[in-house]
Amino acid sequence: MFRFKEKIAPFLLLSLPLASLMLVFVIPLIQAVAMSGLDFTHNLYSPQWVGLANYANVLTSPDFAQALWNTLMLWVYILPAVLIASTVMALLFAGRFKGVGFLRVLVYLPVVVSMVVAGMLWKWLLAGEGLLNSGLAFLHMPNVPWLSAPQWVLPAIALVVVWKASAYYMMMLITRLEGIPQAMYESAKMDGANALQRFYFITLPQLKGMLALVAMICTLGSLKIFSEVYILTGGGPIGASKTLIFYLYERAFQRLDLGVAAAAGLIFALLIVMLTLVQKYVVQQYVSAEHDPAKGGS
Amino acid sequence: MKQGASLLSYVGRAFFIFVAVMPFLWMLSTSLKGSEEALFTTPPQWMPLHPTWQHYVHVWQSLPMLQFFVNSLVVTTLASVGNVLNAVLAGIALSRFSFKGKMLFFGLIFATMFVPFEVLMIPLYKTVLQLGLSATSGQVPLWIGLALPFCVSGFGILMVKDAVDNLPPYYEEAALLDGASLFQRIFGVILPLIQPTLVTLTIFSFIAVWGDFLWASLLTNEPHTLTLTTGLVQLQGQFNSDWRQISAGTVLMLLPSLLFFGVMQRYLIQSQGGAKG
Repeated sequence: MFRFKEKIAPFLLLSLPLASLMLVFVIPLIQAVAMSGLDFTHNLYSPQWVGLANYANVLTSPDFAQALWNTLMLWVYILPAVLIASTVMALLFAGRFKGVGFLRVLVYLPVVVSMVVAGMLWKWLLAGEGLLNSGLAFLHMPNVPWLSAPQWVLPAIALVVVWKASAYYMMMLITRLEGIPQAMYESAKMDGANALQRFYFITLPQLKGMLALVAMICTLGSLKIFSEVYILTGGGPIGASKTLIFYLYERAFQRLDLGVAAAAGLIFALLIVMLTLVQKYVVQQYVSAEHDPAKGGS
Repeated sequence: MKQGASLLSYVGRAFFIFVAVMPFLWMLSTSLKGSEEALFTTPPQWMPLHPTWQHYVHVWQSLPMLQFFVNSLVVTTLASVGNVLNAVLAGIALSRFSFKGKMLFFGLIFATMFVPFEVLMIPLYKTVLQLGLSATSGQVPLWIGLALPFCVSGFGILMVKDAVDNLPPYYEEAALLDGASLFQRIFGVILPLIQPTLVTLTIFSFIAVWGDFLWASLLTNEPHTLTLTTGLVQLQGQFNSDWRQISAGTVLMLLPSLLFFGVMQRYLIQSQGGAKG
């Protein structure tokens, strides 16, 4: 690869990005680590050194356990629903047909609006007097307290997330789908494979790498759910929808327990790092297995 | 892929489009319903029986919508400009030069992608207050404070580095022979060639900052400081859960996103798969 020879140039170029990274990443990270060893609850302005006590506090806290469990349950609802919905949508909206551009725009609308807007739209749909209950009443079915019953609130939040995100992943899958050679389908047809067999033996194996990537992005996104919960339920009823980030937010900005919040944040970061490494490994396994040309090269 | 217009695929497309669009239509419908009109009916009433603009007028008069919009626009623009500028500078440095500490810098970039923003948020909040970048110092410092965490991203840097890596070297060699300076090479050769990447990065950074709620909710509380996202959340308290008014406010606040999408949609949808995949 061709390179310039200047000695000082790279450092000139890097000065602004490096300064920005220092200000918004390196320094805050060091401060977060330092804060995680301090107790702010007795005096916010002169915290005391408590070592690893904040970490112990977080790991033994029932609130944290509940937040972890809620986040996990959201992920369990969201991931399969997103994978299925985005695959079905990709199959339906891939290829060339009349009005494909316009139809894709319509189905992509949920991706474009902010999470806050999506939360408001669905808060009204899921409300006691909302459209969903109105529809249920029309079908002579009982009213469902979507956002005010502990057993319904997580599926309801998951529904909003799936509604918002699926078309995004659909587009990723469509780019992959449109790269599958038509000849594979034609020869399968000649061998007498029906549509279901063609999907299972050709489409699905070809999509595997991209689906693994979708699963990875979706998992990381699910772990960070906050705005949706803040808007839809405020963490309730009785903490049934508090997520990990909600826990962190509450400790830091409502209880001003900054040390515990910082410790929780770093535990959370560690969780993300571990998951990312596991998933990177899984994705690489799939991608190298299918010799995806898009992933190779420089 | 299977072509052909089977009934099943028509029904499937109609279903997913209905699900995607229905919440918007219901919000619009609710916002136009008269105050005496029942909201809970069986079956659901889609067309307002007594359509009225009064809720829009009321919301517009009681909240500084234009101020929210300006705040969002300025913050998003500041952050996107910063993000693209930093990505270009660092991306070119990483792609075109070898220098001491390069591996260290790569490590730093990967670290930014692993550590979630939520961890940095608390110290960053204190820093921003100490630097006087909050509402108490005025509107301009607040804008800078709101934009600050989004002004650089490891993702953006790697995206530009990748684009520059994939440029054929001939153009720059030719420019070099013609005696072009580094500045001229960057602005005359590299940037025009990676323009599609820059547009994609700008759009993504715009959408991310525009939709930010968590960070903005920490720095804003007074009406004139709110952005569209934090202002939207304020609607619920302001109108005491009157969904006709909240709906009118929501529709007003999502208009800019829809407009942006309307203008950018072709580019956005096409570039998305490539950018992430």
